[in-house]
Amino acid sequence: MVFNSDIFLFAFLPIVFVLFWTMRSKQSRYVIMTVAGYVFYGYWNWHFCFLLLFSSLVSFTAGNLMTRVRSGRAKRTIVALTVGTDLTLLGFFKYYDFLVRSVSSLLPGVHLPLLDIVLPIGISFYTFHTISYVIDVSAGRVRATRNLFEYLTYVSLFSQLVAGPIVRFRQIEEDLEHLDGPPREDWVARGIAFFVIGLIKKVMIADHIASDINPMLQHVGSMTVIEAWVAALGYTCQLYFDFSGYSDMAVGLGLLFGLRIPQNFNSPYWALGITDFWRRWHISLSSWLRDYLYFPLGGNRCGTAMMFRNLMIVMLLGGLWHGANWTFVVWGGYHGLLLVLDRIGTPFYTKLPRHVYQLQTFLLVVVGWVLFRSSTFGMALQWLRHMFVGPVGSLATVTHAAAWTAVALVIAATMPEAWEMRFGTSRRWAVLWGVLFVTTYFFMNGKESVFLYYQF
Amino acid sequence: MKFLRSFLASVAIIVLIYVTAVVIVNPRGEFPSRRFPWIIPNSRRVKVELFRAAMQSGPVRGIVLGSSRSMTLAPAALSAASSERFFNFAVFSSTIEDHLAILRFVIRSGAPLDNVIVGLDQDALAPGTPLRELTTNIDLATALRGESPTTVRRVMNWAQMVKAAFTPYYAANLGRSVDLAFAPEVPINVFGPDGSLRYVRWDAQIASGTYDGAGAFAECRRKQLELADTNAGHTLDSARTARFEELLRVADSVGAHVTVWLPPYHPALLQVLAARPPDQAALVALRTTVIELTRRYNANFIDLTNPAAFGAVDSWYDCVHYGDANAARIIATLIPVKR
Repeated sequence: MVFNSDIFLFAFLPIVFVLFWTMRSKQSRYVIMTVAGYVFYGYWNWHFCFLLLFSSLVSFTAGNLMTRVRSGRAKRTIVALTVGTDLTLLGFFKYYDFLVRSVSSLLPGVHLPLLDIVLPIGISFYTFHTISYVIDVSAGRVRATRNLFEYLTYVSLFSQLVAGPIVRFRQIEEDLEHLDGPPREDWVARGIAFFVIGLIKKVMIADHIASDINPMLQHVGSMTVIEAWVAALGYTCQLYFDFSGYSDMAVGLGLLFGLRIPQNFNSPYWALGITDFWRRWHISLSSWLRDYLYFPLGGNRCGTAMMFRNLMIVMLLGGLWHGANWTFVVWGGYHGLLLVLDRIGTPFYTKLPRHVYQLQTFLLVVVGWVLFRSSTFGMALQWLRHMFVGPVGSLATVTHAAAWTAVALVIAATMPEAWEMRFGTSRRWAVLWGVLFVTTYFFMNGKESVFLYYQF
Repeated sequence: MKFLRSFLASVAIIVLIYVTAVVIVNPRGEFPSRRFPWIIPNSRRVKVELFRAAMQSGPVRGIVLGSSRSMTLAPAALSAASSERFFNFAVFSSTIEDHLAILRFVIRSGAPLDNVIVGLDQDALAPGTPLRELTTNIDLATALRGESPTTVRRVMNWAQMVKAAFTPYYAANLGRSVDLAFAPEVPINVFGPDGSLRYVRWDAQIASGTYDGAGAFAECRRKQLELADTNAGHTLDSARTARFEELLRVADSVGAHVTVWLPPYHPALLQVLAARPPDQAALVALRTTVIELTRRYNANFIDLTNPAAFGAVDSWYDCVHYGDANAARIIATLIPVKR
């Protein structure tokens, strides 16, 4: 089920909303949210609900076990076993076939069976949820919950189950504890605003651009320089509006149910340097990688060389997290390298005029998205080559795509994130969001499209 | 929750206003209202209503099936040649599913059919899916499935039609229809009570010498070549071929004689297509299959792809749509067989 579908907007959401606010007790609301999460997830493939449940039960049990043991060694063992289980599941479902193909191409004599495994959507996200919970409990950053349904609500929260943001238990623990509170007018108003803004980003901008550039990318080999740039910039906008739109909708849905989901985007294309970019793009992932991978590796406390090594490891693994393809790994490595260069060159970069530094960062990110979008290295190299070499071509052949991309770029460069906007709770605001919602529906009616990050 | 109530109320009011406007303005002829002019009529919906009205004034014994390329065949001329009452049930962008659905609908409506004339476009049996206009037409969609329309299905269908109106394209049509009501202009086309189509605006422009024939031809050529490119490399679709055979079987079961014909291309387009081997191969495959099946069911087959086959004159709107003079010549070659 996707947020921009009739079944979600006109059946699932209203039913869950009414049931949730009709129930008074915290426990019944946990149960409603858990059931809703599993229905939402199972609508795609109910078999994988068992995997989600298993992963949740393992980490829930681990959390409770850790409250009973005192020795640090025992805790570490529990963490290792739980994280090992989670990563084994993730590794098997997401990376097994990828590994087999890679081994076969490297060692032609080795024949491992391909299993053609269907990737359970959202597994990358909920695995990170459960891992962060177990590590936080072991580190004493969060108290393990004894309420199974509270924990299941956290892991299976439909607003962020399949494509994030990657919410840590401690970030919504307080709201979960007060889930039996009455609805707050300002949260509901803000929730509707966030949801509608996210819907507009997805339907009216991201999907519109996608319909133009996807056909172009089927003929990467014959693109002109202008077409290659329009496609690259178009995808840059599509990805941002698609994913930040999804994140806004997730935040909005959370608020409708009394849960404050943290910010995931902060105008990333305004970033000053790659380090700054990663503080603004997919914030929940980059901060997760920082806290649960970069810091444990030593972070920047063990000297410059180790810091660079750590950055590279984190970004390579971050790239691999996005998908079982070497293009993602290389994309991660590319960003790791840019982070290293950013650290080295900071004294120089900070002397650059602000807009020049921003533009340089943006262009480096655009080049990275070419790798990210390409299904093969061949495609990426061809696309990159056509961006700089070959016939220049004419804008006339891609007028529509170029115009929409330009509009999207202007919006991305000038409009603040929903987080920075102030929304009122008056009737006028309600009417405004009503008008915008119906208008947006005109553009999505009959055209259900999934979010790009569902595939990760 | 005051804010939520205001939000939902505003959504409901906007939706209600829009739905009322859609039903009253009815820009595609899908609802009963006839107060505003149609913009790109839903030909399936319109023809079902016209056919029902025609049946009330006497039995229809012959029907014309096909796409816009068969729409200008005048039932009056066919009736004159056969002494039987004809109705032109050709619909825009028809597929083989449309032909079968319409035939079953006509039979279900109690028409004592003697003759069925099927204009089969060259891509009729290529892979593809039926248009939404067919699948959301309760009368034809149920006829295609061999079912009867129940009240529940009619309500669901109505809801589907209303929902389908929530698109920018439909809203633009709605606006244009209102606009035309206040500043009338000659419509592009008009359906007669016998289902035949007249391109009234184009006829008026041709008469006044203002018709952009070259532009229309170029645009039509582009679309036809695009369509040919889409179908290139595809063999005939087995499911669609089975639908075609089903059509012949159904007509045969009620004792109606079937004439299948391939509509003509403008000579200039024919020349272009002749130089494209995949298109020629597709045409040969279609012709072979149709000949074999029509023979099996004792039906007539007439290939008018080449306009020379019916002595075409220079009477064309574009590269595939012909004027009255050519329509008359085509009818002369399709004179139905009286049983």
